[in-house]
Amino acid sequence: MANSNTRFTAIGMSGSGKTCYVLGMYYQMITGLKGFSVKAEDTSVAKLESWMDMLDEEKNGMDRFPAGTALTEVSDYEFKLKYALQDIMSFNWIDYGGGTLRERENNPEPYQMLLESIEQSPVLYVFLDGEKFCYEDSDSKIRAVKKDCRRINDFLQEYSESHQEEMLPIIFVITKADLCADYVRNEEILAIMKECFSFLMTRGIRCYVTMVTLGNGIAEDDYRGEADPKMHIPIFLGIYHTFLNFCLALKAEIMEEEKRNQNKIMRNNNAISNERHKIGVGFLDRLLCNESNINYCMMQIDAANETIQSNQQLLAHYKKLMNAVSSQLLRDSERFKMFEDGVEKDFEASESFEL
Amino acid sequence: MNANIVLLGTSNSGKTNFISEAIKDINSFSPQITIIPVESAEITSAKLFRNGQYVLKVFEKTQWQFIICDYEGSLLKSHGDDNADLKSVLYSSDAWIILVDSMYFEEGENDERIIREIKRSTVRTILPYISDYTEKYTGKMPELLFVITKAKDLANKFSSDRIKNIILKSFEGIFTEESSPMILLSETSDTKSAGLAILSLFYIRYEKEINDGILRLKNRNKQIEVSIDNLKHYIYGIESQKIFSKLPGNKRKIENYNQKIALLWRESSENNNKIIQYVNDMGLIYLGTCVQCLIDNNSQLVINGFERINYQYDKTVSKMTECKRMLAVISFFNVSILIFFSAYLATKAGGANVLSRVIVLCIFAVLTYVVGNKKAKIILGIFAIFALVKLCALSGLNGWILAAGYTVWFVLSTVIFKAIGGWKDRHSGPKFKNSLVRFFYKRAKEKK
Repeated sequence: MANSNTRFTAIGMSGSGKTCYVLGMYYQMITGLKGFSVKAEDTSVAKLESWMDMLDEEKNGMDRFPAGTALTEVSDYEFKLKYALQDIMSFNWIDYGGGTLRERENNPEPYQMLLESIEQSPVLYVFLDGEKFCYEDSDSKIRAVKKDCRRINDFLQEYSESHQEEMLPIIFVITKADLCADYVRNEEILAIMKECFSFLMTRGIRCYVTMVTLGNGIAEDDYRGEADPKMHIPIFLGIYHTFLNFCLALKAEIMEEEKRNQNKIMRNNNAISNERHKIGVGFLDRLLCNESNINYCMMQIDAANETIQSNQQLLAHYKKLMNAVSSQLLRDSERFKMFEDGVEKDFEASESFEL
Repeated sequence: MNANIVLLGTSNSGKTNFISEAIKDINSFSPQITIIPVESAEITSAKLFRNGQYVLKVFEKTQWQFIICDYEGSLLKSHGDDNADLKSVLYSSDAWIILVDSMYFEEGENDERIIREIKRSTVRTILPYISDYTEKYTGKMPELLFVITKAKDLANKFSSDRIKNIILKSFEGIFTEESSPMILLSETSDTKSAGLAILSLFYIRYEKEINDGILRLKNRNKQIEVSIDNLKHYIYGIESQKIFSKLPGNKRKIENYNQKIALLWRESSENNNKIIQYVNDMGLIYLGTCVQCLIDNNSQLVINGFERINYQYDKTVSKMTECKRMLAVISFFNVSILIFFSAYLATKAGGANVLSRVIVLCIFAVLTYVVGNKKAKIILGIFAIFALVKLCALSGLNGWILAAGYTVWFVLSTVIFKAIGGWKDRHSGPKFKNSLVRFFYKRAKEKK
């Protein structure tokens, strides 16, 4: 399994839906999607299960949703992503209170933790409140998003300046898609993102934008609608980047080891050949042609071959899992957008298929 | 062979009922396959209320000792120490029967809705346990069998493909597109499958154990072949050294190698004998035939995945079922003509003296036919033919003409009888040549 200390950090303003995202993603993935499933570790299970039960209590309306994370609170959820119940990787989802960015001068401790967490994250999640997109004209949308994301913008600008050489991929998650989907046209998204996060669109940074919802009809009848979350894409994008890096590193390591083992096999084959060509002469034959040497060399060859084979099997196993993740994202590619240098590009996942 | 079966189902999914039905079902099916409850294991949790131990006997021989665990469904939703007992039973078991309540199918036309309900009520609770199991056993999944309980008229409302798709999509976290899990309906209005579920799981495990044994022995035999080749190669290498090969050290080597080869040959032939024993294992033959007949005769219950139980029993059916009455009439007719013909020839040939001998021969022939063994019948047949030939010879040309006429009649009547296909009994169904198959076919049919 890919390393267990992967952390995904989410930032966003209060009420943008970070905590609901954790709930919705777990709600959807605990029962599985096309062979994938997510399992929460014991520390998080009870909390998430009680939230799920709460969410199913439709009659409670708005009270079904979990309360936002408090300013000084940092929630750490430990999950494991699986494919056909085989571990792909485990990861921690770090949820900060929406006020952490706003109150960073008064509460420096959570802010410091947030910074540290981002340093350890392979991707950064930025949550945008979907309600801010609920305007007919583009200008109003841009104005509302800009206003809401002022703090985030400042933070990202600061962060990108301090990480000029290696900037993380950023995944923008527009929440409450059930409310805003009708207002946001596909071709409009790039323009809005360019306007609101212009500095990210010019510096070779890869960004993704996707919309999520707890259920298309959840807001109906004063939030008494049925919960049916569609929230897997953001986590799959994060997993894609992390797992791809892991697989590439693993492949390089395996190739290196294979080279070492091939050399070992060659050396031992030569040794066996030398041993066999000694001519047995009477009682000296035991001294000259040593069977135990040959056996030892053969054992070495077997061990090397076994290592090569098991490494290849391991790589094939991870390749299969990587392909499964990539294929799922390709299937969902209509539902997210990818930008690089401010240009919209098709998600092809070619890096993963070349593994 | 020991194994544990766990029923995985939420409250009211029908676990307790399923266990009692399964035992009843198997015990009533064949006197040769019986399940006997042994004892109940010690229970520490109040909600884990039955952990019954059973023995499955085939031909009075204990083939399988197993535990079926029953518990209160709400226990699955508990955490920590509350369900520690259940978890330990779950994770030490080999096969899981997952019970899905058919009431979720009452949503009717909307499959999406049915799937959502099954996911919400059942999958969400069960999947983490399956997931934990695979983690514990590094990727290995327990044997899973899905049973849709209380499925009385589900088969009439839903096609097998539709039920399969609903189950596959509901449990899509477990299965990939190419998976084909075993899915069974627990019952229809006229038949039940609880026994089939248990026997299928046992058969799969039994067959695997036997196949593994065969594979292990075959692999060992392959290794032996390679070792023998290597040894022969070494011997050839030494022998090709011409003068040096006669040196005492090399001679000793060749002797050693030949001894090793002989030992390997012996091991290989012992392995072959063991393979034959495995292939002819009576338990597997009996159980395989039984399970396969049940599957073949209950297609309305078997929804998916049972093609993996593909026991190749002898499915040939006797081509015709000759009606015994018809055969008796024809035989009586032919024998009467023969007796009359013999009596006529006897009177022609030599009067009462020969006639009395023919009558004695006939009585002797009939008695031998009724009580004699095969060899006696053949000898008597040959003796009778000789006697007839002698009678014909004694009675001259007329005798020979009559003999020819009788032979033509006998051949003609037999051919006509065979040509009309006997008298096929249309109500008895196919008659399998194999008596075991015949027995299980009949039982499965009765059950249906």
